[in-house]
Amino acid sequence: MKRFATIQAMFLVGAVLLQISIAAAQDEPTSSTEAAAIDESAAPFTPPVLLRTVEATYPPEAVEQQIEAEVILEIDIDATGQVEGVVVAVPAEPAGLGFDEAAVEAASQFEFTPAKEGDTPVPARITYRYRFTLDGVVAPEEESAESDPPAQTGPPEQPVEPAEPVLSFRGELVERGTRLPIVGETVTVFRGDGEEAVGFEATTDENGEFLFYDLAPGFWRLLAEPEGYFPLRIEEEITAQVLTEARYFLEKGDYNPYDVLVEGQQTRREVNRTSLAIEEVEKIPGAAGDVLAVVKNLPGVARTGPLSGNIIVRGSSPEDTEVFVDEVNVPIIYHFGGTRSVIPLGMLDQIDFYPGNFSTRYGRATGGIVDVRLKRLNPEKVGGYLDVNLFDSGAYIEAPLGDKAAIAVAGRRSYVDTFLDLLVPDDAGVNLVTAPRYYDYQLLLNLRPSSAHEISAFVFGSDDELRLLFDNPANFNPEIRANDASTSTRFYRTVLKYEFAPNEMVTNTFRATSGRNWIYFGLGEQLFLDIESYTAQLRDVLTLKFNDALTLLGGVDYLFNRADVSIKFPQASKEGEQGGRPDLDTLRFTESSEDFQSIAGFFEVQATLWDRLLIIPGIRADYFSQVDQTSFAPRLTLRYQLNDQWTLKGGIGRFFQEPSFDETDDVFGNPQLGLESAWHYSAGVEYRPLPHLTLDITGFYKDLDDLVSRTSETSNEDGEIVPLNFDNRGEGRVYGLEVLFRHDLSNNFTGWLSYTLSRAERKDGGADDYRLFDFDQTHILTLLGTYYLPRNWSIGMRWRLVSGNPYTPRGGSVYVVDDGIYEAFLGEPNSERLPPFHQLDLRIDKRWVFENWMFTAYLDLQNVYNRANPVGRTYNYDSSETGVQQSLPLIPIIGIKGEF
Amino acid sequence: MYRFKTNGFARLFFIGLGALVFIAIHRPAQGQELQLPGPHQGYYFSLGAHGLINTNQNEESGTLGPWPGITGSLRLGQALAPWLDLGLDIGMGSSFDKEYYTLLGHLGLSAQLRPWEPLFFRLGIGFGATDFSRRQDGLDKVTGQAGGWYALAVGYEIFHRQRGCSGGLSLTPIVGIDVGPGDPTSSFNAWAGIELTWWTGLPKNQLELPVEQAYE
Repeated sequence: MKRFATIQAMFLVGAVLLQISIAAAQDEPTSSTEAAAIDESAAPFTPPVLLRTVEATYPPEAVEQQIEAEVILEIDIDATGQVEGVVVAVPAEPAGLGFDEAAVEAASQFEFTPAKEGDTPVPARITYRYRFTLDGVVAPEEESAESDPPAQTGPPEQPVEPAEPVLSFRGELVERGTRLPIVGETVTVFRGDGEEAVGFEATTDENGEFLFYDLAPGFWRLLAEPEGYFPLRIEEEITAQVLTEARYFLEKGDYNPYDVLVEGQQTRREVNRTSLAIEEVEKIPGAAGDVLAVVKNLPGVARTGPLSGNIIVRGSSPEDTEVFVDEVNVPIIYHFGGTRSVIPLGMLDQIDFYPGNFSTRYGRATGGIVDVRLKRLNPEKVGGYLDVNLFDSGAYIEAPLGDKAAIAVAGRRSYVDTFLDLLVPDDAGVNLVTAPRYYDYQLLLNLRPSSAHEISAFVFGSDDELRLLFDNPANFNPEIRANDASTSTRFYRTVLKYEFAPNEMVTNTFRATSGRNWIYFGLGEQLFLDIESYTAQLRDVLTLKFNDALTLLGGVDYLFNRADVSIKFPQASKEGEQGGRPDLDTLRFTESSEDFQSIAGFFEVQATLWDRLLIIPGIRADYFSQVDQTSFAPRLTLRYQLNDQWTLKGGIGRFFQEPSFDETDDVFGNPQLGLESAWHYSAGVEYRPLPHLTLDITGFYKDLDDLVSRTSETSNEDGEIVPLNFDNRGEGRVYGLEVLFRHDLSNNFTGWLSYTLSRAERKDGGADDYRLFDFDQTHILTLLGTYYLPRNWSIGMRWRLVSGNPYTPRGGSVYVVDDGIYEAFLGEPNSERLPPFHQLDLRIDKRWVFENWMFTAYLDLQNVYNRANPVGRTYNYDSSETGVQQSLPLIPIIGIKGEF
Repeated sequence: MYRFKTNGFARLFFIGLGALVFIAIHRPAQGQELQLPGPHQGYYFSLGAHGLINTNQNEESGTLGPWPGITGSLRLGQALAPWLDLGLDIGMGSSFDKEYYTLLGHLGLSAQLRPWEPLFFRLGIGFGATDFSRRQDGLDKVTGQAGGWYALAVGYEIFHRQRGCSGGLSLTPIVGIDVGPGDPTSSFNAWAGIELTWWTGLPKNQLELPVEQAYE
């Protein structure tokens, strides 16, 4: 496309364009250009030295008129010091008196020592100021006819130094919106046209600055055309003896996070790991920028309700999957159980998701792992953003602290409480004493005293609270006698991390974590759940990379928990149980203060054989004081690279996790419970036809043993019959196939197609047959993508098609006189299935770029064709009538974000 | 009288919209390439006034209408390419009958495609609401619904601009249909009218101009 052909053609036709022939010449500031891009690796440059000058003939007409002038020349000097050519850079004024011609003729006879680059003579170009002054020069008519012609005035015959250049114009190129300097780009000043055209070039330095010297007064046109930016075309006036300074903001053609083809491939060492960069996930429709919601679009992850914070991975219960922030466990993932995750995007760099067969680095889980990686702070300037959307507002700011440190602070608060009270009708029967509100906060500090040491401190936490007053609680549930209900969850964590990497072989990462959790739910004094806990963790991981073919990894992890518990609650139902309405007249009470400790050691070898076969055997040992049990978990991962495009992979591994605290409580559970365990088996293939395209097909099988399961059995303790409540006789099995076809962020598009075919079953303790898992979904298809349009627009869509969840049907009920309630007749557990779920979400973003900041607005339309998806069954009081619980209708979510 | 299922129509509409937009936008992004000054450049601001024929379907009352009415629109957006615009579309209207009074509104996105200038197609999607009132001893709401809004329109642009300038003013006769919001109440509207649109044009550094003009 003929972008700047018109301007370029003008230069070719008539310009006297200064072309710096060699970089070395720029070390010598010429009269009109400043070489600002300093090549530190170049050999030292020695400029040419004038050996012999020739006096110019003072133009007679100028003498007669007593006119003095100055001519600026450009002199090309060859490698022998001879003058190759002379041109006029800035002509004399007034013109037409012969000054230019006289100066050119004289300069053509100058002799120089050659310029040198190191010891090598090189050609060079210099500018030379030739001044014509009339000291002692007499006009011809004033002299006798026989006298010699008037003495010429010019430079003396002894060698002279070039005239000191005068800085005329200093400018700066920065990127519009981000204020980052534009480095190493050419800036051109020019004026005139045809044969009188004159122009000069300069290059921006590491600060985006460029300099021009000795520009003649008047208007000059400035042109800069960095690759990927709209051009700068402006006219500036240069005034004699006054320095002109200006700062120019150049707008990029687009502000895509990545506008280049993905070329590098990250070495993969797992059977299944999906990594998502934050820039990819923040615009995914339906997620409203929530990082954990994005994970639910990956293969192996079941669909849960819109306000559910559960993550169901390969048929595992929610509590079987752990979420980490930089390998630090996050105790509470979502605000109010599922609205927004506690981790905003600002400090995050990447999300790693392991649906199974994960490394020995991770443990205490039999499901999957979500590890959210923090940014490595390295800001060049102070920056941040303010984000406002339907749910909350958040702010983020980061700043360098000298050259070796940086800090980032973020916070977010909901404001639904500020207007929810206005929306609740007066006849609703409930008053919001504290409307649901949440906030979270993060602080990250990075310190890099040297290349071998890195220290970081990360503090994060969240706080949720809700309190209601009922006018008549019986309207909600006849068994509720309390007039108020309240819930609050709070936690904070402090993580200190020290990474020592003295060379490429050794990396040691030490983490010390401490924090507290507070969880409270209560219905007045009728029932309550109050848990306060303190946690501390020490973790050290050492990696020894001997060469590309052998790496050893080992570590220890100590976890301490002290929990103060006070609970007065009905027995909660577990997965697979159809408990119906909880019996609030039969409450259990427990109060305890206990310490739990867990210590783990893990070791792993990463060996590459024949440049193709990667073998990763590993072992992890854990001791759990809660159940006084030690586990040994061997794991093996294999990856065989057939060629550049095809890779075969497989893995087998053992995994353990301890029961939850309520399952081992004296009153609610069984203190004699043991660990739950699982075997993971998986095998698959990866195909990478292009650097940005990946097809990943994996078959998997999970064997779940020793699952905590409800039991009606009892034990005799000191003559007293005590219900066991739970035992470890539960079993489970999950098998299926996962397909992920992914287009990485390149060519303005990112997205993927994810499909899971699976079956998840459980066999409760004492049962003969398997039943479907509560969240079994046979087919899970997700198609999503984001396309970056011109003018800083982007559009994204997500379409999901998911099998309905299973449910237990009811066949009527019987009235129980003693309890005064209808008890339903339940069919086979999870023997029926809801209709399929399908939904389309759209998101559109538009960014405006200003000089010092950027503004983005987005609209996220969820359930665009307004499908009434069934997500559950509801029954009337006697189970004689049933209805369908529907998911959310079309919801528009609007958000705005300002970045600087 | 016709009957239709809004959800089914919406799905079909969507498949068509997706295919059309996908095909239309499947071109290399235009990055920092300069454009010759033209009419559809920069941001646009549009006001429209249309006559309306409104039909509503309701589970209780069945098909109601058709009723005449009026509707107005406000559109704000930007030209992404000479053949594609995207923007916000806000509309309000009402229809009248001796017994019923209907209020319609929508907030959504619209995309305009220009395969054969000056003819263009417009696709819209967003959030819509329909509200009935029975005019009987005061206003009693019969039913109302909020949900999706989907629109399709075709127009002919009469553009006025100075030669060599970017942007300008256009007067556009346009006809279209829209449906929304869904069960149990949905509305189907056919409308025709006039829109007045102002295009701001592109800044000089994004235009391919002669040297003298570029540095003015």
